[in-house]
Amino acid sequence: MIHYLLDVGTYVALMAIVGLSLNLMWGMAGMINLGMIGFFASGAYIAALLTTKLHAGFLQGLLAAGLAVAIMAWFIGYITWRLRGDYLAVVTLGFSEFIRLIASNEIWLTNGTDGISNITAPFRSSLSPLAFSVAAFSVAVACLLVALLAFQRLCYSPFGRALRAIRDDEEVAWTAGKNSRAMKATAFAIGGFSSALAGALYAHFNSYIAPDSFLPLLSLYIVFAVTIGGRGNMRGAIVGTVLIVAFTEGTRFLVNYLTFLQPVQGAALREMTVSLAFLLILIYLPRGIFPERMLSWRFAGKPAQ
Amino acid sequence: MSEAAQLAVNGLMSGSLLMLPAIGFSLIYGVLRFPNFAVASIATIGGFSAYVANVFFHWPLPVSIAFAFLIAGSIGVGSDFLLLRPLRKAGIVAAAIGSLALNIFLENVVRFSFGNDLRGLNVPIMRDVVVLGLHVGRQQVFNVAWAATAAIILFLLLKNSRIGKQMRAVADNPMLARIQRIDALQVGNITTFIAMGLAGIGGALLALDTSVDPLLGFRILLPLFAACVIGGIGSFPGAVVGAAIIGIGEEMAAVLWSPAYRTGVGFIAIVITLMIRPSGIFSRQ
Amino acid sequence: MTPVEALQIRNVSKTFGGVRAVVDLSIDLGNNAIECIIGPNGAGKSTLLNILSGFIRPDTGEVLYQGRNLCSLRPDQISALGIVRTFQTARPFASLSLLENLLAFGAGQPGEHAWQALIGIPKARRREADLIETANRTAADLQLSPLLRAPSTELSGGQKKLLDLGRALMCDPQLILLDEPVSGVNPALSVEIATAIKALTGQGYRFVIVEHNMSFVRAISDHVIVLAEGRLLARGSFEDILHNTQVQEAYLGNVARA
Repeated sequence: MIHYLLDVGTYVALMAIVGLSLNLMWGMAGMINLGMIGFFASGAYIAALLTTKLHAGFLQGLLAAGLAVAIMAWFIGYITWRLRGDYLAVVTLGFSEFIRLIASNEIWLTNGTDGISNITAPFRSSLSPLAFSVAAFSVAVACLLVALLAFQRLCYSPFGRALRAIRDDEEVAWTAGKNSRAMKATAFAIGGFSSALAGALYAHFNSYIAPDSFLPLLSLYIVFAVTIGGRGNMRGAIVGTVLIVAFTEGTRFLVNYLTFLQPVQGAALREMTVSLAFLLILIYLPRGIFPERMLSWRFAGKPAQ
Repeated sequence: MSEAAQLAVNGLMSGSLLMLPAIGFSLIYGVLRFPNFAVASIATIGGFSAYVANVFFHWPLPVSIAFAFLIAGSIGVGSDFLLLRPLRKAGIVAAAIGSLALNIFLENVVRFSFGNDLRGLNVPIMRDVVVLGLHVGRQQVFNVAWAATAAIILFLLLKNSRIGKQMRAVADNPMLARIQRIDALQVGNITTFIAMGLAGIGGALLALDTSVDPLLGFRILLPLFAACVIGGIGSFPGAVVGAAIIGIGEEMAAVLWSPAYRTGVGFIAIVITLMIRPSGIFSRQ
Repeated sequence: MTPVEALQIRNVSKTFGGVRAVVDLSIDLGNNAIECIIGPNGAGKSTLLNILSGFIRPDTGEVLYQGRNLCSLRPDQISALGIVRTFQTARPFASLSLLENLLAFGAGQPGEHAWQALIGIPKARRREADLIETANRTAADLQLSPLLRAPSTELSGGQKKLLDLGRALMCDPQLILLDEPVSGVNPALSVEIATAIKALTGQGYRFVIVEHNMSFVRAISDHVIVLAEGRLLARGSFEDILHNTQVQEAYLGNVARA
């Protein structure tokens, strides 16, 4: 049981990093992204391939994954900067599906649907499985905290203020001297980088990845998480992710009690509850749990008059 | 040359199946001004409705398809009224995300009821028709006829009937329509019913064409949106032309590249359209 | 803030799908402290403003300023050169407070680059402190100090218009393009805005104002430019323009087709 909780906790922490990334792109820069899992998956695959096939080191694989996806994300932000919400939503969804298709079909590269197994991780062989889970959990939570600090710093800074200005009124933001296109691309690059790192860590901790680990449904869940947590609020993104994963995993136990259901029905029932619960929460709390806070002037280090 | 023609014919056949859900999506977008992604799972529901009607109740095909229309339309407008209407007041983004959640919900209701297996309808196996050296499945011809009929009926409805004119009025200028005492809520509900019903027919035809499973909707989501983007979102003829282009594009991708990348065509098509002519072929602006 | 030179508009034309919005326009703007651009609807005033601020590329011609052609620049680059515009409707950044709206327009803040923001370089922090000081002063000048921390959505229409002015000032501008600063504004407030603008010219700022409100134009302008059907119709003092028969005809509708 502890083992299971640690593994779920690790997963939540990594997913929360992706949630923070989405919050930067969407909550702050106003660029919705239904394909965050595409960045996560790309990071996972790049790290996995570099370490298993090219025998790169753990940290090198992480860094390479982060940088490669950051560049890819930058391009996507650069090209889609003018896109309106629903178009951007579907384009990003398509992007993440595209990544999954490549992962499934380019067997020469990714082993297709069989996935990549035996992904190494430092200390896995020297620690017991339980100890390794504890270590993985600690690393994941540590990374999450670092990410939270970094994203909060970005959020409550002139950079964050500029992103919000772009989100609120792009035309006026241009007039204010903000290069909206470059800034949106930067937001995408940063979000892509951190999501890819989270994905790479996932690959190492899980030791096995396959295209089905990265279903588009997960991207939607991350959007739900950020929506519930409160768009634009970094801690909200984490809380939202915890809630969504807790709900998804919690319903697993509840459904186990309903022994008359077949497995596929159990899974379907769980997704029905999550999506319906989300809808109801959205109706009553359209802005989410935590409001956005206007604190960018703190950057100077002293309060304004 | 005949290979290209065969490819085009196959593409048009599959495009015609995509056409109805695309029209439905575009209709809702035009009148209610938000993307209702639940259209995808409603198409699935339409497919399963036709399956149930055909395989369990042993109803003839036309009745099964009509049944699909009614069930899809009802569930579509009902779920929209209960769950999406409150969100529309909070903004188009909330409504769009809500429709995605609704889509997941409905897809899983279907999965809960029927499981993940592919289901086929009871249709007699018919030999291909050969026209001008091109092979066309006889069932496919029927499907296209059904799709075309539904589209034409809708077109006439939009053009000539009172409700059609009201729908167009609300789509063009909601404020003016309100001044003209058009009940936007009622028009919206009727639009959703018709649009979702069309998606249901589309799903039924897809079920007839091959089979139906809970993922039918998700598989057509991206091509459907791509068809609307290419044709001009909110445009009826746009959805038709867009669907044809996507259909042909997917056939080409399957032949030239790999069958697995068919869905990639939708994605690429959207990107290209947005780079060349963002508002689509039949843009309303 | 010292005036350097004028905006030199040279043979600028722009057509939108058959409508000739601006036709071979060549004028200098900014030689006076306050210049007003007036003209009947469809005269091309908004299009000109959009071209000057970099939102539209003209079909032909160029706009020269300090030796550079503005038409090849992005809007943010034009603002960086010191040419700042406002918009017809007051458009504060909705999720920012009044203070943050002012700060958002602050120029030369290295903290707006992600990396600098992340590590919090001292230069960025100092700049932020400077900007806060400037913002406080600007707000005080415009009598908006009590509202600094208020969300911009809570401001009245008039306060939003003043905020627009304040934001433009934060950019360290040389030339301020105002797009109908008193449209839909009650007479008392338009007097307030006119007074504020006049006071600012004392500090060396120059204004080019597009307006329809003739009493405002009369009260404030050193020089008036009349556009009609995309061309320059007349220019001079307000009195000159008032008695210009061509201008009268343009407004009354009997435009002599040149």
